[in-house]
Amino acid sequence: MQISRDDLLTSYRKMCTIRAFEERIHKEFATGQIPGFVHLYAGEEASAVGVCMQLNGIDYIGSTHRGHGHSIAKGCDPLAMMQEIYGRRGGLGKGKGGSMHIADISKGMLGANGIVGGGPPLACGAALSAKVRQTGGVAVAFFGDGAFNQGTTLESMNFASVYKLPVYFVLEDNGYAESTASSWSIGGHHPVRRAEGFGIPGERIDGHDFFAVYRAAKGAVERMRAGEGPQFIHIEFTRYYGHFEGDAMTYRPPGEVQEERKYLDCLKFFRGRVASSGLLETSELDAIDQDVAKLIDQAVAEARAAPPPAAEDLTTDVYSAY
Amino acid sequence: MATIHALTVPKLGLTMKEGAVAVWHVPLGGAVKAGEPVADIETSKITASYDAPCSGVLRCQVAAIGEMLPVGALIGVVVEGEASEAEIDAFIAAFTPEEKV
Amino acid sequence: MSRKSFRQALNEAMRQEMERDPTVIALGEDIAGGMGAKGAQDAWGDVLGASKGLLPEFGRGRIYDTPISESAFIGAAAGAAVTGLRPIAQLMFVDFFGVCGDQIINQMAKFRYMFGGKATTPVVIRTLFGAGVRAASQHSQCLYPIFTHVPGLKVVIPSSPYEAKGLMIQSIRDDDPVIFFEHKAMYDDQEEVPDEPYAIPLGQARVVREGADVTVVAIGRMVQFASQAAAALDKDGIRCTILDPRTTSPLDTNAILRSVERTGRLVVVDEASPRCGMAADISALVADKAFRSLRAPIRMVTPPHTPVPFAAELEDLYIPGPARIQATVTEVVKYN
Repeated sequence: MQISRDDLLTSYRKMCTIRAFEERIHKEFATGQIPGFVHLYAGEEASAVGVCMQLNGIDYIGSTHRGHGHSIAKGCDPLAMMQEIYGRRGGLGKGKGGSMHIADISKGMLGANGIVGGGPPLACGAALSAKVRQTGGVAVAFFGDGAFNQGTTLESMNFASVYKLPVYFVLEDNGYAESTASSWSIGGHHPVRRAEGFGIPGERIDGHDFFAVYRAAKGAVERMRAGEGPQFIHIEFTRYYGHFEGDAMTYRPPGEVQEERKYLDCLKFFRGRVASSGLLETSELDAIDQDVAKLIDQAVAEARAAPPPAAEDLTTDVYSAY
Repeated sequence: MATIHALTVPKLGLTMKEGAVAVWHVPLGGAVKAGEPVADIETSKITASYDAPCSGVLRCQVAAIGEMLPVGALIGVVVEGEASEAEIDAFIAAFTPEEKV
Repeated sequence: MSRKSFRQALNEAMRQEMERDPTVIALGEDIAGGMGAKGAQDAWGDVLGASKGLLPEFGRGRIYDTPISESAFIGAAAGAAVTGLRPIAQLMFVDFFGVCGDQIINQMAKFRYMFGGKATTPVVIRTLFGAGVRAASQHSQCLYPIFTHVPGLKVVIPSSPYEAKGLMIQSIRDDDPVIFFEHKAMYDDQEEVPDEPYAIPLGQARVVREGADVTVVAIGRMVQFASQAAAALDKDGIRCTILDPRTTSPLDTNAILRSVERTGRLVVVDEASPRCGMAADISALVADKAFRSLRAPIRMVTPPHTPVPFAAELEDLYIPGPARIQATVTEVVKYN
């Protein structure tokens, strides 16, 4: 499989942006300046980017409570995202939604979601819309191992199957639904077979390997665009932070995260792979790292300085007209 | 040129308003490394590890063990480079927590 | 007797009832935590730590961490209740009712009536609710009016740690399905709470304070805000009665009507959305049954009819606070 230089550079930049964005929010959340709930995506970057690299402007994604990575991968503006997370008027949702509800419909991002299993039915709807409007677009439902046991997800898989909707069901299995192990909670312990039960073909992929995700997603999206109906992928990886910021993670054995950061890091894998094969120069990657660090500094500085919503914003945007 | 960093009571989760240092993982004068545990913080609900946001030498443990303090309150001072005791005292005296949201 | 937090009061109530009655079980997402994981068990004790310690005491035979499948485990709680157990199911945030509504409003609520009085469904659904912690639109709602609307459900909303313990114990002992609302912003509130078990009957309002000028009915966390407003109004010579209904179903209509007959004025403070909410319901009750006692128009203090906003500045405006209650009560008392 050939990936163009441009695509490699874009992919690295996006993964790197997600990592830096999340690492910085972890630090800033502890200061008490970020309100509410925050769930971080660090460690899972290869999934969002490997999948979203196959998409374009006509395609939609439904996301999860852990939605910053999907948002960045699908093209949302990190500066406006950071403002949203700080509850600023200039945020993507005018400060009304926050981290758990980041969305930008114009970019095909149907929203992070506070409800586990909230996204898959919406992705079915986006796929139905694409089919009726004959746009050629597809939809991706990102969901976690917890959501794989929600009725909404299972109903959506059946729904997409019977209508042959172009929905890519992306199971992001980071090992834990909150504090509960996915090795326990997914009955049958075989997600791909569960998907096959709905007539949806799927495969299991190491989510630390960007290239594996990219290859699988490319094939799945091509098949969907060719009218073959829904596809499934079981992506296994790890999350570097707790379920939410403040989760002490005592349910994980001591040292687990440190080990994973050392040995299971999609960014390190990516760098190693492109450098050893001569696809990209290390200096190019370093330059991206520096660009991204500047961008994140700018995002936090701007968000901290930005004005909050105005009092009159409280009652607007409830209805289109009333 | 030294940089003086404040360690403050971290916000750990949705409803946390105050917390206390349960134990320091770095002794006074010890090296603090960004991203590694510097203390355990105890709240009414949990005890959790607090990873240092900065690197340097832990020059002052401002908070007493078990002393309940609001999120954002100063618990310690980390210095990168050289700073005198007087400079650290002045930093502590001038420290004002940011308003929480 | 000792000072206990809202969280500790709930924990003690559940523990004492589980000790007393072997048919009480608990189930929900991460109510112990660490299920199937290699690290610590009882890692969470539910998302805000109220059921912490139940697992080591009662074991996995009575404490069930569930998959994230609300329809299944809320419905299973109903099925277990109608067949001999007394389950306490935790619906982590009441907003998630959207996922499992059928099992609550069409199943457990109606068994007794549909089956001609031959079924009892002693299930408690504990659930977090309320704004104030920047948890945004899908984790902050006050959905108790929806459950109050459904015949067959009892709806309990404790306003303090003492109330939480006594009402939780009664809810577990009660033979009907109870939706038990815990305000997440009150979890660290503390007060004196007896160590021994005690039950507070459902359907009996609490008189928080008595005053001759106005009746203020306040629900849940709003009881605190109304009390703060009443203390400030004392200084202006305005004497408030504050009634805490404790339960919106059954609703202690008698206590509300008798109080308004004495004071002639009513202000209702409710954190739920204003349309079809408890403020509207209680106002209608008084207009219907005690109109002749009224010396001033009834006033409601509620949020605007919007989703709960995320930004701190907007959420603070959204929540009915002591200042708005004080201003409204003053207007009502000055009306002539």
